[in-house]
Amino acid sequence: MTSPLDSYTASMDGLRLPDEAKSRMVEALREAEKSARPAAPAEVLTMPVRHPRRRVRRWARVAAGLALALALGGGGTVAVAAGVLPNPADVLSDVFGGAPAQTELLNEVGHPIGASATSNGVTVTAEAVVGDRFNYAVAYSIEFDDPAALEGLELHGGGKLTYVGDAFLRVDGTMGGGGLVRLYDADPGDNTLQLVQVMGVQTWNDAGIVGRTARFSMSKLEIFTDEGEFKTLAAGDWNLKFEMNYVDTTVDLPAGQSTTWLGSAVTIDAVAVSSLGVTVDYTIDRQTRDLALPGEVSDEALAEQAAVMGLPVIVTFADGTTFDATDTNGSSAKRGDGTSTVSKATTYDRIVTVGDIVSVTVGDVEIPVSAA
Amino acid sequence: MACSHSAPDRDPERLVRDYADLVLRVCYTYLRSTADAEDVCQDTLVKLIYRDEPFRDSGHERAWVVRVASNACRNLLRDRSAHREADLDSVPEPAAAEGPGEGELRQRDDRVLAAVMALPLPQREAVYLHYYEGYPTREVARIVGATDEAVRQRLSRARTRLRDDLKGDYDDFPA
Repeated sequence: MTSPLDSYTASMDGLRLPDEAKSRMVEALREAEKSARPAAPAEVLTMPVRHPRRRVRRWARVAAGLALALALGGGGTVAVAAGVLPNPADVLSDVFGGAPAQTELLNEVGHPIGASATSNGVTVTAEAVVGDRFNYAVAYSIEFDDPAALEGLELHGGGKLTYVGDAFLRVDGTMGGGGLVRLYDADPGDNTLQLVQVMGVQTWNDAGIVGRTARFSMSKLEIFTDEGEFKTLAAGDWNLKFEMNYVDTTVDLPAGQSTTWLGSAVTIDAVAVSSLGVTVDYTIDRQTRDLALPGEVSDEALAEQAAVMGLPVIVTFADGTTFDATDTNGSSAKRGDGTSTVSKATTYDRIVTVGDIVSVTVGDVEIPVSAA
Repeated sequence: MACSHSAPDRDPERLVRDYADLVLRVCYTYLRSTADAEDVCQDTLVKLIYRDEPFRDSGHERAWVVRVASNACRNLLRDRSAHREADLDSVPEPAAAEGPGEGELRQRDDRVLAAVMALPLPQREAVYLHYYEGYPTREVARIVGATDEAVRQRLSRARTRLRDDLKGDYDDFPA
């Protein structure tokens, strides 16, 4: 005789959503994915190599790396890089909104001075900024006058919280990019949280971002609990601005090498590393066809995309560890001669000293940093 | 710095494939209806896509989906009740509405399923999570926010009640 629980499980097994409902749901989720976090810096604004991916572990450790970098800070002040022409509209904005906070530079880390805003008993302060030509990480402290506001928070490993606020940082003269915001509680015993924004951006004239004005705004700080609830930690109006003043640690490596990827000829156009990340530009003798319909990415389209953008990029560090930058933010453009130009950029899982980067391997071409 | 970082796979197609039916069953268990399953599933999977924290493994992810979906169902039950603060046991549950998959279930004329669905919610969810999803009682306790002992007691009461309800049909019901 069949067990009644066998009968129960058999009945439940027969309970399935119709395929049409599942297809509808996939479409809706893809739409939701596209519009995820509209107010915060989008994680992937440039074309992802494959599906949009969460680089959680990497970014989580950026916070720790930034804290380490701060601890190592010290020394004299370095002037803002010359030659960066401000957008006239930005200048006017500064006239009406007041000058941005000056950023004092201690070694490679910029420390904005006076970049702070208080609303409803919560003070947000830009504490530090590090970066390279097109990537930056900004650390903020968020201090609560009422420590009870932070009681009972469910912290994940390393004091991390699942951030869903709307903090937004715009750097004048940048036109797009991708990044992530990380919220954590470094010391559960105090009344302060830490927020780190890490972004890679593009500029109109490739002049870099050092010296530009950064404008931070936030109207709420929320977390998402393990129980599936949104919890508002603070609501108010925080606006502050400061200079993106730090030492650009970008090192351009020799380029022009040839290799192949999945049978297609590749020319490495540019490779650069910094304390924060790596960028690789290359030209490949291949183009993708437009196989993807709106809201649909077929396996065939993904395979074609990988054949153009999947060229492996591995960064090797002095301690022997490596960082795989293959599947990262990237963009490609078709050229009239049948080739595609591809640009990849990403940040590591921590902030490093450039001297600790041994090489970048693109495809089967190893480019030592010492050759720069 | 190891190279072993693995971005979690939050591809909508994979999420729907892995969890749509699971959420449907959670909805049916809690709401005695599958009418809201698509909405609950959508909300649950959007939250999963937005979630930054990685899961330890697929089991951790699955348990998270169960918990979030069941919380969504509880919220629906509360919203439908005129007594928002009432204990869930005393909340009038919605009448079953026609929903995806229910026709097939009715055709089965399954007395056991009907008996399980007639159990009070705490017992019903314990039976579903333990006997169908296969979670040990301590994991069920974590998901539903109760103690291990309370879950064991709910399962015991559920078995007793099912044995009475199904007397004559089944002689080998677990004690």
